[in-house]
Amino acid sequence: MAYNTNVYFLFLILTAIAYMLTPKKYRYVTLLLGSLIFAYSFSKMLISWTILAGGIAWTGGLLIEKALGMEKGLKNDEKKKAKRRTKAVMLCSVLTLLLILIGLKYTNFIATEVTKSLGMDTLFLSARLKRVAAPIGISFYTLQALSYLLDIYWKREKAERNPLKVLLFLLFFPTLMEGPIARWSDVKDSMFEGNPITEDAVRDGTIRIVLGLFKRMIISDRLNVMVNRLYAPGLHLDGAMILLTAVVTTVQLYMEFSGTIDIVIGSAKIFGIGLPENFRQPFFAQSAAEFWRRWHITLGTWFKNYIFYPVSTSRLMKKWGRFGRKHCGKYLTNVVTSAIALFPVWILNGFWHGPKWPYIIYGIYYFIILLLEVMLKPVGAAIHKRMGLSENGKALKVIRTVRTWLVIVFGEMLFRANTFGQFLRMMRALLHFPGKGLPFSFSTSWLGLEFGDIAVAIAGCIVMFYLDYRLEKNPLYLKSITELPKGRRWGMYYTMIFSIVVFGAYGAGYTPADLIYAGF
Amino acid sequence: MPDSKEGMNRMKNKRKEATLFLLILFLSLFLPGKLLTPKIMNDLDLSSGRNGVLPKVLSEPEDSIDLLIIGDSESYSSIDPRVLKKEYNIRTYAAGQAGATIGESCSMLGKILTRQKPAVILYETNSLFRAQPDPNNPGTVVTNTLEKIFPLLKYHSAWKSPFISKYRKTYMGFRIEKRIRPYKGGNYMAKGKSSKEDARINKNNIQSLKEIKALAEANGAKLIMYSAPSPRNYSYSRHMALTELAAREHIEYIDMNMHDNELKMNWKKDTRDRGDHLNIYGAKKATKFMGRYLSSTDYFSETKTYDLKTYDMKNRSVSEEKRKR
Repeated sequence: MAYNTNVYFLFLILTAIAYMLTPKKYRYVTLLLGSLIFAYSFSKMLISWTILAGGIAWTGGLLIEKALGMEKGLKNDEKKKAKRRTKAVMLCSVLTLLLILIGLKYTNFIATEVTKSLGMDTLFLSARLKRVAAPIGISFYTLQALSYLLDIYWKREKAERNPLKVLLFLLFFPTLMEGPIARWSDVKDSMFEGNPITEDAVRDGTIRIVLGLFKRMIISDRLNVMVNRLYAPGLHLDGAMILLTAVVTTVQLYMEFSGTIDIVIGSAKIFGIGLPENFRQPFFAQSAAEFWRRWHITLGTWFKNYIFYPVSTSRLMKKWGRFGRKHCGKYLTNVVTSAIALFPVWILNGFWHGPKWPYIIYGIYYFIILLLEVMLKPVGAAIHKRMGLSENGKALKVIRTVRTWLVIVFGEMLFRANTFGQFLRMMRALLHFPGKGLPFSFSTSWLGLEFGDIAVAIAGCIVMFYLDYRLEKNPLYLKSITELPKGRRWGMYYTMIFSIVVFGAYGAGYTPADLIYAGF
Repeated sequence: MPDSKEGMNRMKNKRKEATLFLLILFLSLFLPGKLLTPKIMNDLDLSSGRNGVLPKVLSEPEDSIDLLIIGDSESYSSIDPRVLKKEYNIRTYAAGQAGATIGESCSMLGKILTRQKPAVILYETNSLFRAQPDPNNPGTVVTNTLEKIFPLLKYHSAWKSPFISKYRKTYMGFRIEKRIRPYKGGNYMAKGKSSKEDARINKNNIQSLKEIKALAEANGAKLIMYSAPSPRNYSYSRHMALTELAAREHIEYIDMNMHDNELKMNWKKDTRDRGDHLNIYGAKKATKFMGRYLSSTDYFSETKTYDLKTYDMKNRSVSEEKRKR
């Protein structure tokens, strides 16, 4: 019942009908039941772990709030003691959730790596550990549960009394598999209100879903065939093909993930539930740091709010800041502070994606890139000044954008590689540029695609690039389409729908791309 | 009061507009498929360009084929009927389909066997590793229902046919391809080069294999599984998985990938797409190997006596037919 299947849309329609037939007060219960069915269809009995996480978040929230309440009116030592108690309750809840996550998701990886490092045979171990499996969406709902608990601890939110509402917050079916990672404050006003399904909500939601299907079915599912072949073990590619692989991988991943998020946000919109955006035209970014403010925004925001800020504003870091400015100068203090705060963010970002070395190294890759951006900023500014380039000038914007694209495409190639060794081999092959494969004797059939497929994928990318361009100029561009005169509006709707029906990569000969992030 | 009346009117208009929009959408999806689909497409359950080989096999004279080859593109790229006919007097049809699942091959075999009674059916094994939709899966049921109501969904890829005006030569289903694109990956059948994960065969595919076997037996044909030489698609793990499966199902199995000493494949010139499929040079070696093997058996005690020379003269202007993709 993944988001790109017809069964999901049937399920969505049936849930919407059941939702409308339910009295307003209990509509959230219908959504919860739908979400439980959805989660069960993937996780089967493993769903009990998800329900347990909901129970921990709900109980932990109430206990933290109670402990916070007990701090009131106390002074000096008693207050300190009470604060320690509150912290202990919070840590206990947070660590339990983390232990479940690590236990279910990382046991195999950790045990295998430890066994390997001890020089022992991993075969026996892998046979024993095969059965450790995690419920669908564990990485997403664990982050949501942690943010819920920490927001209560930091007095940003109040604890919810109703356990079913906390469970729905974690399990809401459109967000369960790929996010976006919502915070309690993002959804608490719309998720439990039982808003009616209106014509406008259906229209806006459907437009978003159709947009997502366009990205997935015309571009991502089509390029999926090619990407799978390009990463086939034992395949030796020439330098030009490696460059092509890097670009195609990035485009396919973007269209897959952002397309799925469009379907997710559109589905939630139908129920009148507003979810946070996860993408904001990432290829318009002019630095790696900006890219991460535009790509998988909710994950970046989570790490910023719950790792980066707490680390950079910790007592130790403040002490270092004062000491550093006094003895080491502003520049070095800034670099060291950034390094210390960024390191846990990116290591955890890598680990969050999954127990696989390319993901972990992907995290380190961005740590290094972002640190270099901090370190080289004054050097860059000096060079620009000497060359007479305006910081806001077009030339510099183009240079920065192309530089960021290079960082992105090689990062995504590392992300997609089956092993780190494969990535290294591909990078070595890049030295033999351009090689023999491209461009003149380029044949598409061995990539599993006809020439027509390539043409359609390119045309689809141009349409999507144009849309991103319009959205960059006017973030409300999609909304403005609904205000066009009927003829133009319907023309656009029918064009989108029939493009998907006719040019979509579905049916015989195509395999839909897996929901890549659903595996995390 | 006037406000709420106005609001009601607006809502009514919106509903009318939405109904009209959906009606136009329904008709635009429904009518073209119903009006434009040729009868044969529905009769033979064909998708454009996909199992187009079926009407061709069915148009062969009744009971005129000794050896029938089924499977995916590996099957119609590896055994050359011209060589088998010339050197071993075995009249062969390569009835593979590009990207076929084993379920599709099984369903097509059922239709072919209503007209042909081959002595041997060769099943190329690559499609055993290709997932096929479970017919009882809700997704498959919904897809099939939608495709019945809106045939456009089934034939939507037909736009590719006129888009690519390239001729592809075939003979009795075999793809005649001279292009060379070498494979440089080394010994792909070495132990430890592949994972068991990569060699997993799902139970729906095994079920289809059992159905193919039952169909063959019911029609007096001998079923043989074979793996065409293909570095891209085969590995030692797959060899082991297929050997085990064939033994379990009591089906004869030949893995040409394990017979390189006899085949002497030269991957610098015997493949058309970097080790995925064979070209005619590779296919000639594979066909001779298969021909030697088949002629050493007694499976072809009687070869077909149909006056094929006359038929071929009448129905084929040249020995190689050209098919527009």
